[in-house]
Amino acid sequence: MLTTLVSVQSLVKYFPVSTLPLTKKQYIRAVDDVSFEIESNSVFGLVGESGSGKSTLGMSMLRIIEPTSGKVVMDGVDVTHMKGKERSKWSSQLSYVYQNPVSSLDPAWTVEQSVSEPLAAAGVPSKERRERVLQSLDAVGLPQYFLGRYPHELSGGQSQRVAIARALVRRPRFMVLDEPTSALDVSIQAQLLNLLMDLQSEFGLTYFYISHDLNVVGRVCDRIAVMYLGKVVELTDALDLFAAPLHPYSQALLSTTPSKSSSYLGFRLTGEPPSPRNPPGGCRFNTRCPYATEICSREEPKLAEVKGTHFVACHNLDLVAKGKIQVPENFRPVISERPGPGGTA
Amino acid sequence: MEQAGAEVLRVTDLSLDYASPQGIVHALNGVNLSLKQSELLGVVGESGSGKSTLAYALIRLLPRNALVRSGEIVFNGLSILDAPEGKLKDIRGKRISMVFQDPMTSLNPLFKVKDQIGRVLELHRGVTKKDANRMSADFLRAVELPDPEQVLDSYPFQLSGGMQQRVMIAMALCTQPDLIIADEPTSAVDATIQVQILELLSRLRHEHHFSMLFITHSLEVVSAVCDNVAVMYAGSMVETGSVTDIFSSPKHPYTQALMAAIPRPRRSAGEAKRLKSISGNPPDLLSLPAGCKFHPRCPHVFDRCKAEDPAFRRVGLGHEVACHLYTE
Repeated sequence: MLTTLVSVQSLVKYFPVSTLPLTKKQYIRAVDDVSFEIESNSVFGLVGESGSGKSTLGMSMLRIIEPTSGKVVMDGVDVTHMKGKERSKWSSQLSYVYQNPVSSLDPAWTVEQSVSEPLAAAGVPSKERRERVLQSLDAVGLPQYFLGRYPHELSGGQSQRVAIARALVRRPRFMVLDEPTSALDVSIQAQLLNLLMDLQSEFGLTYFYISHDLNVVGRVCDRIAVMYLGKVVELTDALDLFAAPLHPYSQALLSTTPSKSSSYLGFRLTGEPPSPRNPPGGCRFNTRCPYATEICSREEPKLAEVKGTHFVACHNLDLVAKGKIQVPENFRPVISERPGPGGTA
Repeated sequence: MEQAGAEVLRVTDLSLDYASPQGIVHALNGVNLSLKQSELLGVVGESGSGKSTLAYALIRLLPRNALVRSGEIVFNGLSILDAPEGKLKDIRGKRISMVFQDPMTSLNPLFKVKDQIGRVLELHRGVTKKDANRMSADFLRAVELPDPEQVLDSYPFQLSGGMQQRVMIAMALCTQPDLIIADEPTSAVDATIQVQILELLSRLRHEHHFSMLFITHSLEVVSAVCDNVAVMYAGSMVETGSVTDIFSSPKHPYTQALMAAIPRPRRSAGEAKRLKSISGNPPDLLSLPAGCKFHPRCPHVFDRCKAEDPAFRRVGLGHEVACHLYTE
């Protein structure tokens, strides 16, 4: 039986925007009423374009930034309002790996200092720290002589390994990986993804994997949430999403990959996403959706179960399934079928 | 592939070094390439493979510590490496334009879009300010920017990343160049915007009859728009061919390994999450291995690879590979 490790319930994060006095206060609605559950020992993926609220969601879950409202429950305990000792005990089980390893490591610190800092913060005696740091470096495949190196002496892949060693050093159970490989070359990315998969099975970790790269997410994740302008529009098993995406936005996203499945009508998005400061009323995707009807601009669709564990937030699933386009100016078919890398046959 | 036009650019045996305090960096080592009219050639390689150095060498815009060891660059019959500086001014930005990776750092933040495009038009095409404004709007329309008048009147920071990149393309286009060199033009934008821009570029070159050298680290991007591909490794070309050839039957072990390392979504629960990765790291350009540069990481390595640098050999129509596995 699978057990739920983390449960996110109606999570909201609004950032206030400075406005003139006496005018109505404005907010950037970065994460707006998002709910899902993450199973133990699984990899949960979050995809979306820049500005969709992916990182805000990841950071709110760990309370690196405090959520505006909603709940985060871990091991059945509500952690949203934990304080003091209780909170530090909870957060010792978590860690966050940032996108850019060069800016997330202090340039004036050696590898040893960076990796041992979380231990010092947790009050681990200095005698034990060296041993723990070495274990952690060993786990990410870096030899002992890296201890005294500075970030500028490391390549991109090595810096990211150090960042992962630092995240691992307190032996967390739950890790948020925020685009951990997007700054790396293909061959280094493959090495790092393999490392992350090995660490997951070795230490029984649960990952929350944030990425805009569908291929990476489709490769390593078990379950995927697709995010658009602060909302989760589709939530399902990874294999399901790639075989038969149901939300028009997911379909448009997946049409950008060469290995598109033939179960749906691929199309290209036109224009750019609206600002999260002033998102469209009703369904947030209605302004770019070729299947939008009158109800879409009026009423916000709820994320509802379609079959089994597949959830979609869309009013017009019938129209989408039949490929009945309502707004032709939003529909740009995918023109050429070209051979993709890695062979798609 | 489909092009049979005249040759616009030919690079023969180009080798280039950088002097550095640590020693000589061998950035390019015997690069050959040829580009025909309206052709879109993708140059792929990982960081440090020399792809950007190649781009700058093509317009002779090199830092002072760069030294061309050997080779020749011929653009429309003119030898770029021997041409006097004055002659190059007519070529750079006019006959050859460039689109850089990060539009935010290549657009001047203090000037409105109309002043930046207008300046290019005044300088390179000698039009009056009034005409420049009208023409600028036309070029913005050509790159499918909605509401060109408003964009012209905007400062770069008021535009999104995708719009800025379109402005850069309009600027590259407005001198009616024969060749556009694009250095990672889409790596700073999202996938959906990236596809829009790539499809736009591919369409524009047929309408405006320019050739394009497209430099990127992403094989995926290459597969989406290019006709032909050149794969670079440690400053050398290892394989060239049509997109179809390279993607359906890659010949060089490095190209093969690179393809295998690209993550693909899993198709069944039984499929492994792990990828086939290339072991080791690219070589240090200060001390390149003898023989084939890829031999320390190559799964098929044999004695000859360690001693002799492989020459290009034809393995199919327009498909060439530099690897000892394919000699005799």
